Amino acid sequence: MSQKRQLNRRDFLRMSAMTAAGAALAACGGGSPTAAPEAPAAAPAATTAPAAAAPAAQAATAVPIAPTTVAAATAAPAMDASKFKQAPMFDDMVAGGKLPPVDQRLPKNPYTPPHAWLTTGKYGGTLTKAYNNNWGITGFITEMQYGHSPLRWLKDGLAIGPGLVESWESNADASKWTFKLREGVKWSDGEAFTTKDIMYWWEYTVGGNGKEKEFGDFKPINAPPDEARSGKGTLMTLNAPDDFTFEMVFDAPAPLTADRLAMWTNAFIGPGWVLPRHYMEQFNPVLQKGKFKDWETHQTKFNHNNPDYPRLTGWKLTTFEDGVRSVWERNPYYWAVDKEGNQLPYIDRINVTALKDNQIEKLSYTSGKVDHAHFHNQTLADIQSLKEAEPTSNLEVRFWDSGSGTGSLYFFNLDYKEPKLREVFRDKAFRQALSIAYNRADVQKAVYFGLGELTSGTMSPKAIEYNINDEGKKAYAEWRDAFVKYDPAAAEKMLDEAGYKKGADGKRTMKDGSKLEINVTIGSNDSQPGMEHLSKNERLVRDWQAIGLDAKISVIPSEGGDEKWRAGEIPMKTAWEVGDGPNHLVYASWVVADEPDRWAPLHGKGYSLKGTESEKQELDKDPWTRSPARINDGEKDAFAPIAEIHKLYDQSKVEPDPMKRHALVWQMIKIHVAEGPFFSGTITNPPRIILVRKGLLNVPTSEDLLKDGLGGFVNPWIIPSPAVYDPETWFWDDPTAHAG
Amino acid sequence: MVSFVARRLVNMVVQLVFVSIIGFWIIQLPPGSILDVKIEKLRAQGGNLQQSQIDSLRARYGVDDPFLTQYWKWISRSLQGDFGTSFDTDQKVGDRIFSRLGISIGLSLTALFITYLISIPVGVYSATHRYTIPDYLATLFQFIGISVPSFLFALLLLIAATQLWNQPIGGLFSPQFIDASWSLAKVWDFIKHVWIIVAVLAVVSTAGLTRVMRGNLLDVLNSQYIQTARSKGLKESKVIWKHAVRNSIHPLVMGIGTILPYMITGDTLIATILSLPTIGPLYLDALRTQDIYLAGTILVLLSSLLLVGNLIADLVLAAVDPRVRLE
Repeated sequence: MSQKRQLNRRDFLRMSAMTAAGAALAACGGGSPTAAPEAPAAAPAATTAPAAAAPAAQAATAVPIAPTTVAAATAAPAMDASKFKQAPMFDDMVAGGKLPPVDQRLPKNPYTPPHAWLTTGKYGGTLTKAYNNNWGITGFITEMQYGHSPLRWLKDGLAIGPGLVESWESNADASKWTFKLREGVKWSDGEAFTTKDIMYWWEYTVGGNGKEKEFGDFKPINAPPDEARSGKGTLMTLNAPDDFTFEMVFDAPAPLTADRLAMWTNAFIGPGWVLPRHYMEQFNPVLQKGKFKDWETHQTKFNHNNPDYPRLTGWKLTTFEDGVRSVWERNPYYWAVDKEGNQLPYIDRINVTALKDNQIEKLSYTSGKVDHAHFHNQTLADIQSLKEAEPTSNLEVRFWDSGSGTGSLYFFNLDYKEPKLREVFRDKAFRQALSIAYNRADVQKAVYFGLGELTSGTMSPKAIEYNINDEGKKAYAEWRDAFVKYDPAAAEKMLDEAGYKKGADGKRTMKDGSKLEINVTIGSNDSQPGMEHLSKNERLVRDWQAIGLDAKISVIPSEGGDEKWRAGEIPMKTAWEVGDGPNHLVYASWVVADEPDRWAPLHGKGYSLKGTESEKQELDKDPWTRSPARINDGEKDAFAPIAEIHKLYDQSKVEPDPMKRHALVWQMIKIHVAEGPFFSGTITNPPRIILVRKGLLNVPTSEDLLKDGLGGFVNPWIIPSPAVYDPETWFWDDPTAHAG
Repeated sequence: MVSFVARRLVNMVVQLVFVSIIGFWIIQLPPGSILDVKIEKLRAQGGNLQQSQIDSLRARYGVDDPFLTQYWKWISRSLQGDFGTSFDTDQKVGDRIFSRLGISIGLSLTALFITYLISIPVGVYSATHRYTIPDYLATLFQFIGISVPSFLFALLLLIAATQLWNQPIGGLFSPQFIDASWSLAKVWDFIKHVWIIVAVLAVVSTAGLTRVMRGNLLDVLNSQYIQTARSKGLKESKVIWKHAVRNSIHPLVMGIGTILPYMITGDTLIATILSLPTIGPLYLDALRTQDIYLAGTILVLLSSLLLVGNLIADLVLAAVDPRVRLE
């Protein structure tokens, strides 16, 4: 017996050890975040409506911003309501009285997708998808549907069109915005969608309009989004004079409001904006006094995995099995029709299967088990095998432009704690020399398979400021080419002249002759061999060593890295890319130090706290010992070019004229060219692989996108792709063959 | 017997308390928290996250609470059957686990059944027909089974199945059959999905057990009491099955102790490759994202199964082995 007990204990210990090892594994490999795979980890930047936006706003006409193509959408009223047609699967339900007739399900003026490539489709069929991703099998479909958005981006961010909001206008200085909702839009359970659903979000989840007072012990569960603040940073008042009108009233100009209302698919990605009040209020601890201890139930119900949650999108979730699959069925109340009055979507059903491994995902693609893939984990290296499989998989490989400003980049911490190294990092001669010593062409070939275009590192080439006119195009070209030429000899000369001479051991030193070490830091999560960022860093180190620098790769734990970066304790960041939005100003963080995660963390923190109590506190303390660590413009340790950019940025926030805003952006770019590079890129705009089964129509090709946009702008989450291309219009040439 | 079981049960409770505390502590050891993962996810989906939003998340998940407070929150609710909410998906931990438990156990029981069904007879045959051609063949297959990692074998079969026979990938059913009622077509679809799993488990887990069975039986066959039994003129089959096998089956029975937790997470790698909705991959994800309530609950579940398994093993051993007495 004793012997057996021993055995048991040993087994027990072994088991514990295994568990410990598992956790240790997690500790080393490290809580690899569940972020969606190709989500631009970098916060996107920038958005501005096209030139039309603000002048029109000033003119205060109805539906001013809609580009020409949207005329089709607003022409819908001309259509006789009885002309609307529905999918055959609803005929019996309507005849049996289980569903109201299609005219009553659609709003007065339904939305009509305006894209140039669209043809009238056929009803029916199933779309099969399979993904390996922790985000879950419902997140992707959420990003495929734009139905919860008040406004919509069109033409890859060049224009804004109506969504749930039919028309909108602002006063002359853009401090008061009035929006008119489509009348008669219904949630997927048949309940009317009105301003009450917007006010619910604002007042009873954000606590806006002073409602936070009613919350008692409960903190607001949602934070106010950027569009809820004026250029001065104060919160708006949101009014709803009637069921279909809402007004945003600011204390100062808020010129980017329309842009921001088009951002994200909303509901589950981005701020909420529209929540089904009739459903959600049952679980709201503020409204249901005493019924709930916390927001837990509210948040479990407000979940893209919840089939009971009413939707405004083309398909609604009907089945969700954790880690297995999800099924989406046509929403009988979707508020869009095609040009002939057929209610969208065309496709009956979407089936999504969860996979658990990238290679299995690839196998399911090369063997043609799916109909469409967008948010996959396949990289540029997989193009060849996907292409080779085309004849048998019947999955056509298409390329849509990612719109990334740059792929893998690097930047130095301009607010590094240690003063001597900080001085080096702030020396533009040093940064410029290192940029031209970097052989980008080699990385383009080895890491990016020759794709993209070499760049010093800019915002997205699709940004409106670069495309609006020749001055913009020039500003872009100048920045892109500023430090891109590979010239190690010139780099050596620049370093010599700047005083970073070679010491006795052949290594360059600081100006005073002391040792100069460059630690090319990378988080442990990104440092597995062969990964994009590490491959780039290996070449970076090689190139810098070639000009006599003592550079080496230094791996740091990924977790907790943010805190250290913000305290100025990490010298470089090297595993990031610039993903960004349709203009520079919606998310300006790459251009302007306005938050603490990019190239000037202390300046960024200081800027983000401007106007708060802490701006005036701890001024006598060393910036790196303040809590939180921060530098205000104009202080002893401040870096002058940053303050210049801040000034321009502050002007842009309250400037209602878009052309003047663009001009301010160009001035900021001039500072980046003269005093930069503040961040250094590799290649711009690598393509995104899209897989489309033959026979699936109305999915744009890159040519379609070039004719009616910019060739794709897939990476930013604030222009949600493929939602912007209205997948509700996709259809099968032969629906019966895809009944699945 | 009764007092033995009672004593063991009391011990188990004490052990579980320690396991839960230590396990919960270890799960939290890696730097950062589920919140970092969550924030990164929200960032990826929603750009800049404001401090007020981060603060409200911090408060909601209680990540700044001291360890003991977090532990108490979890364990006190767990005792009432509420294992908390999974941070990762905002679903109930209990629901996430129990929705997978059936498939996990079903698959493992099938595998266990096949394993024993194959490995005991083959092991006995190999031992009694040592150095014959069938023994060599069995040995060859077993060495392949032991040396090829299960996930690689699963991968190879999967590729062959899809590329050569155009079979479905992953899961237990094709999408069109999941909601359908049972029919011949559905059964055939199920078989097409499940044969790879069964084949992998059969090759990989029978190999080791067969070798153990063979080795043990060989030892026993040389014992004097076997010779005695033979010299008494017992039928060879009776000698083997009643006297020899019964005495060489210990390791297989002791194995039951570890089999219970193995049933829940032993298939992690294979399940990952074959996209099976079992608990193994869920546990792995929970550890990686530090979804502490989910990971902690699975850990305690595994530990209790291990302890229960060991108890069962002891009881079964007492039943099959006449030399073991419980007191």
